[in-house]
Amino acid sequence: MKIESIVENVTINIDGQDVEVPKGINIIEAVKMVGKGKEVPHYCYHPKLTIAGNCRMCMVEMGMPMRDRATGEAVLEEDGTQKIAWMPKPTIGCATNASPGMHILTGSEMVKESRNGVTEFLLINHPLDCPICDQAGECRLQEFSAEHGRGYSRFIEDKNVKPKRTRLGPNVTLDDERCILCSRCVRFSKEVADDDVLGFVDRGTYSTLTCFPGKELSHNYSLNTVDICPVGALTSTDFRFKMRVWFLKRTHSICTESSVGANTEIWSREGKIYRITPRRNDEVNDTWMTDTGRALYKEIESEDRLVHYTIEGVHKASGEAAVAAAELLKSGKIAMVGSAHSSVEEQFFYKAIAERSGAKVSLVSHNGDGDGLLQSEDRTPNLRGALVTGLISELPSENLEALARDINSGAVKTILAVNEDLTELGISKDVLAKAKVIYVGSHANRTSEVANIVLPSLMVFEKDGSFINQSFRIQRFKAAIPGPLGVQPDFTVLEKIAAALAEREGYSDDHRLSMGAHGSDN
Amino acid sequence: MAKTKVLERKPLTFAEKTFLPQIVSGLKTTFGTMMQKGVTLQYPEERPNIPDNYRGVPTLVKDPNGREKCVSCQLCEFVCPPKAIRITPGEIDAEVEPDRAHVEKAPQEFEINMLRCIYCGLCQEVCPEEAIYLQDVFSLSGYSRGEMINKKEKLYELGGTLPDQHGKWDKKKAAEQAGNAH
Amino acid sequence: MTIDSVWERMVATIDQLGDSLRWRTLPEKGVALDATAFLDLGFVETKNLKYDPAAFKEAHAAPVEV
Repeated sequence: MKIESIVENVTINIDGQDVEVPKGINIIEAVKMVGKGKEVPHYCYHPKLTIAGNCRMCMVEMGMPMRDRATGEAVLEEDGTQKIAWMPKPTIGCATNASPGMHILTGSEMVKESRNGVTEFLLINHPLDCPICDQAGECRLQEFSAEHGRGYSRFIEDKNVKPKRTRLGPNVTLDDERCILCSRCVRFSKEVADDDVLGFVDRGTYSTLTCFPGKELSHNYSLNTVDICPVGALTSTDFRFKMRVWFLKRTHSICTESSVGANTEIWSREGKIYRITPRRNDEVNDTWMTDTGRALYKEIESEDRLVHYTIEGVHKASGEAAVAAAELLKSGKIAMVGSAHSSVEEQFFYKAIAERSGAKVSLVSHNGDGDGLLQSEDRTPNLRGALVTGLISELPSENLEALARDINSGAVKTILAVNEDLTELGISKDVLAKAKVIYVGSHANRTSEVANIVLPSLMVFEKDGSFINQSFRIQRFKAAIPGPLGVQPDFTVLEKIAAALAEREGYSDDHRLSMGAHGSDN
Repeated sequence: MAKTKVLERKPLTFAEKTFLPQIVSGLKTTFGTMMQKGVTLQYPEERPNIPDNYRGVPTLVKDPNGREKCVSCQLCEFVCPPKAIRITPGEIDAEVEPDRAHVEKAPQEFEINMLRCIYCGLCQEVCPEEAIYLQDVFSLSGYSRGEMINKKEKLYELGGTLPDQHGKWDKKKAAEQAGNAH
Repeated sequence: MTIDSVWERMVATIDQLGDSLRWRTLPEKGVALDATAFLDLGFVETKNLKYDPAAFKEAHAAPVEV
């Protein structure tokens, strides 16, 4: 439910306290707005999905100001206050919308008793296998059972048996015994992912979540069902049994898969990333992200990671490599192949380096098919950053054939390549051999193999920085884990190169500043 | 100034002057003890009796069917005050161990660093599967730091098999095989 | 060189960042920057969950206060 910018407020009374809330907001959200840690427990309600109202956990007592049916006048108590007509039974908070004068009780005896009852029924057939369940530690059933449950079982009959370890799709494993039939995953697949593959079969206590015959949960948003599953029924096949969540440190980051810039949370322990989940941002990605974006962290431990600063294949210290790169860039006839994968901070220094060395900057586009949701056509996270920092003034081209011509004609003698394999972009190995190459990147490729100077760079998980997404929203990401030993944050090395170039004749400090000042004009 | 009190020393009696009663009572103790069974334990040839609930070296135990009980829930790793425990969780391969596939999870590696362990017993207390016990092993030595880290194999070797009064996973498997009534 | 000193220099040179933005105090939800200078570029993105190129262009055609 999107709250419009101009919204009518109504006053409702929650547990004896008058609060102003937007009209039409449901009671779960209204109570959340009151703050003070107050919460209506719920399983099936999700702010970004339609309301199903089937878990019955969010029961509250509701009453409206009493009015005389004949005259329509307010009925007053003996002491002159408004008389409240309380409903005889509790009502579900998720499907009750705030209206003027509404009274809500979230902690009355009746409410507590109904939560207790709901919890007891949910636990009747629950396998209680928390020790082997991945959801333990972030399980709503676990939390609410402790908070609202009875603490012991009165159930002496045999528990239901349902399918376990079912493969729903390439990324999701289902344990039906843990399922509490909240239908969040069913609604997500239907409403958000637009791929209606999940449903319930059988009746009553035998109800079972399953994929429709001949189908599987294979869309690129399937792992969101794991995120929204309030219990451990849907589990990520990748994260399954890898690590308990309470050991994991959470770091806010940005997905680099496309220019959408989905907000993410990186879960790591002792320098190892275990999973990536979406972080709610209603302006960017709601609470979702793609499955492919979640798998990007695996490249950190890839075999071809660049971990040494090298000059002509010999390992050097970062400072030496920076000085050598600066020397090479002073020689003139420079071309720079920048990257829309670099952070805004790095692009700022690339811009300075390009200006001071007189390099002609080109970028290469990385486009794919958009899915209309959170995977846009532009598969780079920071093209807008290159525009804003002034690194480029036009959109990137598809290949580097123009640069290849310049190398052949001798107009370009040195290339600074950032994260791009030039040999795949229209510059053959023979042509590339005619120029000196400085390569900056996180992984080895055919260009880094022939490069004269290699400066390893950190991946997004290992550094601080910011990206500018498709709607020119600048978003921050933080380092979750340390980078490979000895590899410095990119901008410290780039700053050294830029500073060394500025020391050239005619580049006084004043000049340097003024150079920067009109840098963003183009 | 404190006042000094002078105590009067009693003169020795005749019996005391002979020293004989003192010598006799001393010899009584000597000969009495000589006749008793010795209290010194000839360690390491002789070992003390370890009382029940003694907190010795933490070990992993197997159930009477010889299956490992630990499901690598990592609660002991979490609760361990000196952070001596390190577990690498893993999945049970249903094809390799079909009789244990229903347990789903087991430790790939389980390490207890005995240089860190303080024998507090919290791991035993927290274990939901009754898989870790501080048993009667109290003497542990090694030539290197690495030797003092007990790996999974060593932990099971030390732990052995203990009776299991719940049979939790056996019941689970029986229910799975019986299926639903409907 | 820290990220804070990089931002001091960036804010001094990049108009779109305004004067008050700093990396350390950047809101968790991000900040929408002034895009007026780039509206005429033919970006490849089509309509997706929270971005509609036509609507975006329309909304930013009028000068935006940073």
